Amino acid sequence: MASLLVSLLIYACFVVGCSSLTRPVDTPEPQSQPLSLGQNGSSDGVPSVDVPMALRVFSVDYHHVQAPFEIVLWIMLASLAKLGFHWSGRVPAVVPESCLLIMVGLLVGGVIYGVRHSAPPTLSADAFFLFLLPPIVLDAGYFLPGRLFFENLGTILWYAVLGTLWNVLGIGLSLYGVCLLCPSSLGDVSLLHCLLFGSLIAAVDPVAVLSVFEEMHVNEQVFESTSRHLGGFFLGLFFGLVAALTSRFTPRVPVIAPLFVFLYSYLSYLTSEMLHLSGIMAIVTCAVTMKQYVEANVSERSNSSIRYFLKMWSSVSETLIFIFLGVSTIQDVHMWSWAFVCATLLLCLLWRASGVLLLTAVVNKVRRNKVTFRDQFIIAYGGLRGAICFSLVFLIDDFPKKRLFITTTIIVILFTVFVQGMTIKPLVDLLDVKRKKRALPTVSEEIHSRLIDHLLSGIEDVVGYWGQHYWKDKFEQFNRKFLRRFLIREEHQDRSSILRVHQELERREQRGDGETAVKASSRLLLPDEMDSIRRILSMNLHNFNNRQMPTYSRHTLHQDLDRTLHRHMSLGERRSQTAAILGLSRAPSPHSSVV
Amino acid sequence: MGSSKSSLRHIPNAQELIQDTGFSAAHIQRLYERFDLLDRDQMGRLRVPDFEAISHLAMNPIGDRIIAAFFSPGKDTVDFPSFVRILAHFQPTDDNRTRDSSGKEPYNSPNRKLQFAFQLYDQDGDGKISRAELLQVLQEMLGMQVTDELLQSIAERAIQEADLDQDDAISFDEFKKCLEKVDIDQKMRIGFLS
Repeated sequence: MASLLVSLLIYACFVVGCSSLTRPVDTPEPQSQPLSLGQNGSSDGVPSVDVPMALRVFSVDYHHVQAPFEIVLWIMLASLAKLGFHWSGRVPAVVPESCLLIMVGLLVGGVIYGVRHSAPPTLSADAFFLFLLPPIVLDAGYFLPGRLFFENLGTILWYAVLGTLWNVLGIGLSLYGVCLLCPSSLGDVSLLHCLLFGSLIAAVDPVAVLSVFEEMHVNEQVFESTSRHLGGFFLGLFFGLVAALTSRFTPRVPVIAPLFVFLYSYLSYLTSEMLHLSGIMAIVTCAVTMKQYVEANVSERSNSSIRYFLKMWSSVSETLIFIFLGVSTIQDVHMWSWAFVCATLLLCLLWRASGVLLLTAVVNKVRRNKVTFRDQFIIAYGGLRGAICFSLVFLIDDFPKKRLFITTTIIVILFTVFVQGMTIKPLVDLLDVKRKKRALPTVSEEIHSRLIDHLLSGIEDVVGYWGQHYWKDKFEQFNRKFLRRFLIREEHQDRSSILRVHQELERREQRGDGETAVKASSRLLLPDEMDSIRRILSMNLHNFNNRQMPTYSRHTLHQDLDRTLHRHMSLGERRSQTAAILGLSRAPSPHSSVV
Repeated sequence: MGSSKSSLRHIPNAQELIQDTGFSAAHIQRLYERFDLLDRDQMGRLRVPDFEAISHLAMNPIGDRIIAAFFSPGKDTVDFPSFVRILAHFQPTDDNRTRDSSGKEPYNSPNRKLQFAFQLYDQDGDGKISRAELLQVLQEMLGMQVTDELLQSIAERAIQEADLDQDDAISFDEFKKCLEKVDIDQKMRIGFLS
């Protein structure tokens, strides 16, 4: 997921920096002539005056509702398809969900094409950046497994930044080489374009990339982009804290509490876009910042609502983008070049794999918990490109070979989603990836592990080893002393998760009366319960338990291990402890984090 | 830092320590410097206040137990060899270069590491973690954030899960079993040169 952000950041910088962003104002053309009952040449479907009174009751004014109607239909279609998809038991285990969405898109595209015989509606930059992108990014930010993310921040940045830089340069330069080799068909693709393309297809580091293929003053641009991101970061921080504070006062009006989460996040996004700062950075920072305080302040129901809505909106967004993808595939204006397409596919895989291997070799020297070969495989192979890639390519300004890029991106997406998505599971089985332990850790294990973590921290202090824990601890202290006191309601400051655990334990005791006569022992705790206990245990903690791996996908809310297989991206991840936040390319759904 | 030019000659029994614990000369050197720094009254021995002066350690929920682990039973000072021997438990297992010629288990074997952790619980040294001892640790780790009855429940559950021979306490073997899925070597290791 870090690379998703990185990719988007660079892309945004890119488009702004290299050329002026034109905003095509395409609106969907009317799909059909509005029906009219009258014959009097009135063009808006209102029945003319000489139609009998009785018929005037019924008129179809399609034109009036066309845009929202079509959108709703598409979403409805995709959702029904999802229902059907999950109804069948075995299919979801094999086929990733993005396949389904793409197929629906193809279907819709086919229908539209069949009806109109012309290019389907295109996605405008405004619509994408203002409406479709924020929910996806907000979802990613809110469900970011915070502690794990920051624990492994170094490694994550290492892979995200360097890895994507490696990828983009590698792919971009190699593609340029390919273009040079085929001057007849690909002669007019410039280096800049190749690198730009590389940056969509792989995840990218803004600063480094800008400094490479910058046409204008390098320093200026780099400075500008860094300050954009920093500006976005602080703006997001500000909004996040304000949101947290606001949520402190919501107990009397619990119904609107979730609304504030969305309002503030979106506001932070829009404000930073307005100030030409990095909106993505802002919204993610906002979400990450406000999450812990909001969760402590609002009721369980509101928390649930927030989570559900986030998932819902990001799902809808992604669905729409995939549908556009499918729709765009079915049109007659495709530019094809065997060399380019095949080269892209091959290079993506090659550079990614080599990047992962190299980076891992270096990072393993430093990390306590090594990234294993199997994990590397997952990272390298599990990178499905998706919706965002596609939207980004669409938004490049027109140049002669744009259609080629679009076609290639579509092919890459289809390939990664269908081929890689479906084969990763068997391949991973073949490699015997360490599956995430189905059994939840027991309480004793948790407790003892925590004790050992404390112990290690203490010994490190004795030895005088300034490990990674130092800054983390400093922050935790600050958090506890000031932030939490200020931003969380009095009575909730220590209570929230504890009360839940307690209630849960009580409930289980009552339910479990008939279960076993002797003991209710070896009954594993619910994920929620474990989570709460874990959270309690780690409130004083410096280290963290590397086995605690909350899985994340845009399509699931609960850490319900049974349903995890159905999610498209996570097929590989669920088995691995390290796929993901390290993902070297943008994938449709963010991943669980690394050890 | 301590003496900047101290060589191993200043350190008593350095060779023996190297043999015994598997630390390298560089490690011993570094540890000696650290020992010297902690030793405020420069008597060549550490006392409890010396440990307590480490501010970060003082904030550790089980700080007291960790400090106590350095002191052999009955003694109230720690000399350098003991200091090193305790820390030897935290070397990575695969780094074990020397084995004691008598075939004694090296300090940093997973078993010894677990024993060390076990002893943190078992203050009275009877080889078992009783319910009371477990409760005490839980209290320290969870602090005042949890009600007593919840602590009791958690302790109860922990014992139920672990206690296979039904004696209402956790023996060392049961403790080991709880942690069998955890990679102890990974968890209990420190990079000694930093």
